[in-house]
Amino acid sequence: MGGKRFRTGSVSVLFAVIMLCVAVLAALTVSTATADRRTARRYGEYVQRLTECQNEGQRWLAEADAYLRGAGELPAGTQQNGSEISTEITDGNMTLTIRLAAEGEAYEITAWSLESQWQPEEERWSLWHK
Amino acid sequence: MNHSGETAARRLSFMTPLLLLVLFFVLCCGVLSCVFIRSAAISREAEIYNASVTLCRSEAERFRAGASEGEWLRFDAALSPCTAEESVYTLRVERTAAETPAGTVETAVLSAGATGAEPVYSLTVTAYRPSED
Repeated sequence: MGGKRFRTGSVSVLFAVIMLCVAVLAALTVSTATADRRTARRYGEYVQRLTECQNEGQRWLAEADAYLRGAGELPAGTQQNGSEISTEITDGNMTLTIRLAAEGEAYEITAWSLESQWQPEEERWSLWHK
Repeated sequence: MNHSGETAARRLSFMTPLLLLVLFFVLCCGVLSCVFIRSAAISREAEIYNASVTLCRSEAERFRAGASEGEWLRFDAALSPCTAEESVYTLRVERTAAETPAGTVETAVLSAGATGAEPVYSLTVTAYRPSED
């Protein structure tokens, strides 16, 4: 009569479990890798904004030095309070504050401060929605 | 008389589901292997980008301090300066200068990436050099 029938049910279940576990691992791997890439790009954008702010500060410094030496006008957006001249350069959420103490034609940088304001992201979904 | 033919047909009907199962398993493994390989490529891309940003930022500070030299700078996997043969990352520095009434404004365009590939990150840095007089 018929021989012993080989059962494929248990093998199918085993294969299904293995596939499920490996698929979950693959999904996690892709998710982690894309998050890494996204974080790297954000860091690059942050450095771009930071450097551009500093570059604006350097250009302002060149104009301020020319002004102190009598070779140019007071740069736009600059406040002068006696022997101190200062400015604030804003780029997005970053603000660079520069203060110079003028001594004749020479100057001393008394403040070169870069601050960034934290702006919370728009709340898309909150677990504890009030 | 047709006993061997019936046996072969019986074996085939017995093995077919198992063969289909194994084939499906192999296909799934192939698809998931492609996913893993793609993830590794994305991770490598992020690593190169991070290293390029770090190198550009570091060289920008050196440029502002007046300590930047050379046009082509090469770095190993640990972001340490190295020879061209050992380099993993390459940084190019293109300098220009513009005279101002009181000094010079120097500008450098920094571009970095993996050695042998196109740069993936670029940074423009400016530094003011007052004249001595």
